[in-house]
Amino acid sequence: MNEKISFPDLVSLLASKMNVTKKEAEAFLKEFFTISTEVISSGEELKIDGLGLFKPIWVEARGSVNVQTGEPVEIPGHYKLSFIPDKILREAVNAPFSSFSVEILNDHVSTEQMIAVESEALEQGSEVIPDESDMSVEESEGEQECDAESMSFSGQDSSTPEHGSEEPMPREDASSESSQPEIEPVVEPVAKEPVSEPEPNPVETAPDDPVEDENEIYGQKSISRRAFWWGVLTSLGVVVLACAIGYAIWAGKGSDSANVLKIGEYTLSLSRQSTDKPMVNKATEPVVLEVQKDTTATMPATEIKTDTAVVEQAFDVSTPQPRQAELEPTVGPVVETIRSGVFLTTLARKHFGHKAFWVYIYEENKGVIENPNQVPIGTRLTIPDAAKYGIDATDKASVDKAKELAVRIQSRYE
Amino acid sequence: MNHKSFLEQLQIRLGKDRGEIDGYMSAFLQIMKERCAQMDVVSIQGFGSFEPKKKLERVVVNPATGKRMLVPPKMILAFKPGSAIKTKLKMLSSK
Repeated sequence: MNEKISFPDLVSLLASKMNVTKKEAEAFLKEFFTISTEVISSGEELKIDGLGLFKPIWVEARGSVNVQTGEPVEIPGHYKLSFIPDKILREAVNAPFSSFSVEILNDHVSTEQMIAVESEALEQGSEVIPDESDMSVEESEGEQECDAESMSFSGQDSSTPEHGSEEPMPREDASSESSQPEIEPVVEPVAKEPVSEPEPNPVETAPDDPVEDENEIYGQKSISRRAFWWGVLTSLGVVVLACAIGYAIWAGKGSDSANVLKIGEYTLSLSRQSTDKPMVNKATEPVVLEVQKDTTATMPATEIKTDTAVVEQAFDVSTPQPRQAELEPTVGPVVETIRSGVFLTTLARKHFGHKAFWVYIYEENKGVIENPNQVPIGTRLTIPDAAKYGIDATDKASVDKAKELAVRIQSRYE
Repeated sequence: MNHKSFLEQLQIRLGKDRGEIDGYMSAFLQIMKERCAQMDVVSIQGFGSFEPKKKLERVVVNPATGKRMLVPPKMILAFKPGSAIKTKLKMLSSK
């Protein structure tokens, strides 16, 4: 298996097969490959029955660009050797997969479903079943479908309004922030960082632990039940996420959207963490405990939330000085007019050295740009000062941050 | 060059009769078949190497009918020309 057979190996194999001396076998093989090389090198095609067809193919000269310098380069015409294995050899190599055939897909069948079906058909073990249901739940999660089962479950429903009642508080924070001078984005680079880190953690860790614990206690009996709760849980999480993002965008239209979004995500990650625990416990314990668990879970959530509010206020306090300092450079702003063939990205490349920074031009001109993908010709745009948004084309972190923001902005226009 | 004239060339150079050459050929091809089916790489100095490769399944679209088809995973035998053949073909190209 996966051995490398060199010429001497081939000679000894042939010698033992033909019951001749190695010398004779070598003479044959040497001549065989010499003739082959000669024929192929002369530009002639060579067909050997049982092995295949060697065919030098002329490739026309074509233009290309040097990836490093961007200079146009011409690749001259050349020969390329194509090898088409003989049918016998091809089938021998493909023997393990010979049972498969090309299948015609229906229009609405997605490839993920096909894979799921295939793996189900291939491995019909009992352990596959929970995995399968997990997969299907995750797929529905991607489509943001709401399970009917999750609605019938009262405990979860009561937990979703919770977030609704929690959110007005951060909104007050946001509105009080936005009542201050409208140069909020200054806060962004500083305040955004905590968002990216705490968000994924609860999602990854929280579901894992309970699942493992349960596995020890209940073993195989609860596998299907666990899969069900796990599915319900994740779908609920998606619904909450969608609600929070929707709310954040809605609330963010008037004032600074990034801040509100941030708060929305924060509360979301916290509340998710808190709801995850009671959810899985409920699967194992009597229904009576439900209410208690829920109330206990919400308490830490609100506590932590007030913490975050305090942290944000702290950010506010720290920022006013730099904000006023940066008012001066923007007094004489650079104004660009959109012409045909000029996009936000071209302007960003011209002024900041990297196209990813178009987001900041967009942020600066939110009032005049309706859709960043279609800026009407003749629109006058103010180009922000590079220092204002921490723009640095040589800094990878700065570019990445801009790209992250771009994804968020783009998602609003799809 | 086709199979027949190739065998004739071999016959002339080795000075052996046709039956013997056929025996060698079939034995050699048998070895190639067995080894390549086992995912072994047959690499010959100066000529090139025969490598069996795994190809993943993929979805293709028939441009005429617009039908999508799932092509199953498969193993194919690829041939990589060695440096001798490569340089000779290059010289041929530059002419």
